[in-house]
Amino acid sequence: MPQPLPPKENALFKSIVKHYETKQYKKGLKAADAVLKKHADHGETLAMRGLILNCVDRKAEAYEYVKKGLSKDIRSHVCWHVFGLVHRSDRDYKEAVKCYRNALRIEPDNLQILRDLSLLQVQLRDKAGYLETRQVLLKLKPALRLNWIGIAVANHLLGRHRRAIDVLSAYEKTLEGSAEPESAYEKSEMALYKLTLLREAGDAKEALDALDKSAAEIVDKTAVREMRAELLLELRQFAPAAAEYRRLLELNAEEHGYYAGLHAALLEQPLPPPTLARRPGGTSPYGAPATRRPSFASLNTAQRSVLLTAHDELRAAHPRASAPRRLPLDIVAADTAEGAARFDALFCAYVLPLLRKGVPSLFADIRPLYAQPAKAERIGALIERWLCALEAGGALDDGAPADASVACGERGSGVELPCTLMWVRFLHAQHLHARGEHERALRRIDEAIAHTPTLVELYVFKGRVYKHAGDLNEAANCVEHARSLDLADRYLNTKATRYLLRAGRVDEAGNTIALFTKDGSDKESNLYDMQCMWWEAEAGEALLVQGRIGPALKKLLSVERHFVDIVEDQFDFHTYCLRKSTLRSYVQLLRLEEHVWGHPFFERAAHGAIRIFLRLHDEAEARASAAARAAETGEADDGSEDAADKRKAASKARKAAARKAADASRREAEEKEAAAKAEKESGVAKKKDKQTPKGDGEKREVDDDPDGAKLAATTTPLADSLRLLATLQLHSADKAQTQLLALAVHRRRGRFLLALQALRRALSLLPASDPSVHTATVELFSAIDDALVAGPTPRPSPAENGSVGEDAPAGAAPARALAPAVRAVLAAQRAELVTVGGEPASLPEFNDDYAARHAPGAAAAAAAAAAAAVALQPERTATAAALLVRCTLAMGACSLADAVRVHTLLASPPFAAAAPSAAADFAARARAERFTLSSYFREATAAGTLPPEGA
Amino acid sequence: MKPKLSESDVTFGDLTEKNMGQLRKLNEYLYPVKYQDKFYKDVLAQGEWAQYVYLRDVLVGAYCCRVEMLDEGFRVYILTFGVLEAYRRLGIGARMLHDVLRKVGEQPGIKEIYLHVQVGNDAALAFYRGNGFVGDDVVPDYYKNIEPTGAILLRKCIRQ
Ligand SMILES: CC(C)(COP(=O)(O)OP(=O)(O)OC[C@H]1O[C@@H](n2cnc3c(N)ncnc32)[C@H](O)[C@@H]1OP(=O)(O)O)[C@@H](O)C(=O)NCCC(=O)NCCS
Repeated sequence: MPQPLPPKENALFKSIVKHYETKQYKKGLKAADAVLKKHADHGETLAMRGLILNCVDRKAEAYEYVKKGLSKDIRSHVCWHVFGLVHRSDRDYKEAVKCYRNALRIEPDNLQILRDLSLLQVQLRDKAGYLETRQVLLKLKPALRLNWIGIAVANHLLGRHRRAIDVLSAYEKTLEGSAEPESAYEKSEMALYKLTLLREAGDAKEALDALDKSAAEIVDKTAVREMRAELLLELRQFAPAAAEYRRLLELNAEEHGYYAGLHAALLEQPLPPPTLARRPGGTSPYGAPATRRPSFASLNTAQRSVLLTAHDELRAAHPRASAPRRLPLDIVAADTAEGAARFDALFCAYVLPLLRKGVPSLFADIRPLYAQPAKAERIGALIERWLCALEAGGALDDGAPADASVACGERGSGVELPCTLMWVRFLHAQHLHARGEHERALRRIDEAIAHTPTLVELYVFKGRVYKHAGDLNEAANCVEHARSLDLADRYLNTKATRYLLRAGRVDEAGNTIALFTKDGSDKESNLYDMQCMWWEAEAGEALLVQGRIGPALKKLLSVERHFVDIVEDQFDFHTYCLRKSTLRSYVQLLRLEEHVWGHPFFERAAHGAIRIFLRLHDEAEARASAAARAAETGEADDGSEDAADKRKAASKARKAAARKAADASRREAEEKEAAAKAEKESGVAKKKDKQTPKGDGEKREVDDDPDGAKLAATTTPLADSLRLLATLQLHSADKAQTQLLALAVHRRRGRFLLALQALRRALSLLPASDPSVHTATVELFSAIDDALVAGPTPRPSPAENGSVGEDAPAGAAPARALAPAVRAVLAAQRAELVTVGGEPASLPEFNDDYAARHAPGAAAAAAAAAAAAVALQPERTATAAALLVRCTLAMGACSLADAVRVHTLLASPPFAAAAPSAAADFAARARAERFTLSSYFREATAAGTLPPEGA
Repeated sequence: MKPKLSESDVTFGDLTEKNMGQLRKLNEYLYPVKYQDKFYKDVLAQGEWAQYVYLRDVLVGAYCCRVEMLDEGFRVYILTFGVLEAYRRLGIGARMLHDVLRKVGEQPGIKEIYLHVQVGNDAALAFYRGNGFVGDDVVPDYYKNIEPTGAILLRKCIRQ
């Protein structure tokens, strides 16, 4: 029922709305109270009061008032709209959409509600719904430019490019004659947007025509040129395309994308697709925007010579540009004598001036050349020659017989400055490091340091060498030393923080990164506000190694929260971009956001968090079964010597575990104390902070679980991991890690079909010879075998009363009965995947076969096979140990990480019991023959068979 | 043959609290004495009278001076003044001294500039004498923990 108010109250009600819109919440509440005094049941006033309460963070009351308002006046669009707004502010978009729709049923033409609805629709990517709403808006307000644009964008998102173009053209027609003021910039943007649509529609010819027609309107002349060149290439008009790229190079001779285009035009090939420049390892926060890089791997001799000739000319045309001197190094093939000589000459021409000038990043620049062994060898020979000459007090020579095509301006320039020797030593050390010669690299870098002890880059590099050689602590020391030389350098501060984390010096790392947080606020919340995700991910991993589960989980999950925020942040752009007509960027942003969960940061953090959940589950499981065992055996003890030994060993292990736990909890207690102290000290500042809400009306919520203790106390760790897993499966399904973790989770949940699906996907990403896939296969099918053997008679389980058994508190092992259909699938899959020579096999046979085929060559494979053997048949431990020893002999081909894995395994209880000296022997040989600098093997040989913690 | 330095090859830069680690590193390589924390604190207070010197952006040396009050006017004392060994005899020291003398010249109140050089440090003696510093007086037992302990007092008169 509509509830009309008398004029005085009606005016008051209007003022409530106004106060709400101008954020004068106190006044708004007062006005609402005044209305309610006389009309306690006025629905819209109740709702408005709730809306304002929501803004001043009185959530519970807010909902109460809004709901009460709605119940008093369920036919009011205002009440429904308000209810929607409250849901929206809680990010419950689905509910909000429902409310808006109810409001529109009552008041179909309400512009404000339509606009709010359209925002939610595009946010949720309900593209069809968005188009529909925008159409209603256009019908209501056809004169508004923004409404036309909205329709075009909606069609674009739906992939209807033609339709989008037609809408824009139709709108332009309506403008003809009228004098709607359109700024030059807006015009230009619209022209570019239309061109983008045409290109995405795949019509290069039409796009090129349109480009030529609208070129005059477009403000960004470079963009016109670039687009023109690309379109010409697409249309295979290679000569004009080449000319266009040459003109672009006049503007910027360092843009590698232009060279990529020119190369394509010269070779009459399509343009290479843009690549997202990500650092190997994927730790770079936001890969540089997509760029085109020339690629050379597949060129034949004739093509190479075409490009080299072109670069000879380009060098002459752009004598100061470095790209035309750098790119030929990629192009020339150095595997013939002639090619090698040419490479040498070009390399000298490029590198010598940079060595004289002193460019610390020089090696990073030439590093890609090492992908070709012939070039790496040439580079090594040249550097050694330079070094030799300089040590003897001579000068750098250009290393090649006089070659007229090489502009070697510096040739014969006489004596070098002393810094050149240092740079050459540095370069040589980096070269040695790249070739895996860590010790020689260290000796060389020490010479560079003795020569010029003030250059921070030298210490940072030394840290890198130690890191790769396996001494993380010394690595951190080196980088810390570099940092001490320049405390104002943020790069060094960040580097040092990372190295400290890797070395397990988490608290030191925290203090270091805190040096660059805003002073005044406490460091954790500042880092959180800055969305400092590399820190959270890496600190989380380091904390995990130390067994500080709660804080680790806290850090890793805060990365997830940042991604939620990033997605939420789109909201502001839905209106802003349409209004400003920055449509190209807007559509780009929407596409980026659709894939944002695939970002390496999220992936890394989610993987880490899931690993923690698995661990929590396994620990609870182990505790539960230990308790069960204790209850079963009671104190029954046969008193034999063997049993006494076992008791001793068990008590030793318990003590060690207790010590570790005590350690961790002591550290945590200390941390808490420090935090409490800090809080007390900053108490005043904080309180003030609380009273002044941030600009957008947000306030910092008080974190009731700062150390993640609640997170870690979960009784349903597997269920907790499902949310992360679902996101990963949507956005990072192509990562083997994702599938292996999914497998691990679902296996523990007894959800074998899902686990199998994950295994299947993993097998499509990794070869079956991969150790982690092999181990996972064995683990999964051994669990499946157990379940199959358990027989068709269902054991009593929660599954019986309808609930799914898997997410019961840890300890209650999943004991679901397998349905006959499921059993059939599992058996069939087993027959297909667990085979020897194409024939179904038992797991031990399968494992032996794997070991025989892969293990002798690869340490990791051997370790996997051996571990599996022991798990399957404990009595075969001795054989498994022998397998590992065999791989000791093959150690020439094994990485440090693999060697550590093998050693850890050899030192683990079953192996240590079966082959007591194997671990020590292995460590001694590993240290003596190969991993001289590794702190892991240093400590392992010093401490006998005990592996150090956390390596 | 010696390489020639161009004007822009050599540049100067300020000492700050944050980059004091660089001065410590230089001193560790340049002088037999270990300087105490107090030295670094005092140097910071000297402003432009303490400078780093760079060769093509590589830090290769530093000078640290102190302005002292006289009854009438001031004098400048050179606390440390050095170039990394690999970078000597290129004229960098001369450029540093030139920089100091320019500042001294711009301040009318400064009467003289002086320093102590350890007995036996012939490079430094040749360097300063070649640049107009005079004096043969040996201050015995000037140094505590290094041999020889004597220092020669060198001075250069700026204006009367
Ligand atoms: C003293 C010192 C700063 C000179 O620096 P430098 O950059 O090598 O000096 P320059 O190249 O500018 O030398 C200028 C002139 O000084 C003289 N000189 C410098 N070092 C000399 C040496 N070892 N022997 C003889 N003469 C020398 C020369 O006349 C030289 O000119 P030249 O090279 O054309 O013959 C440097 O030797 C040094 O750092 N020593 C260690 C630190 C120290 O003892 N400082 C002094 C106490 S505060």
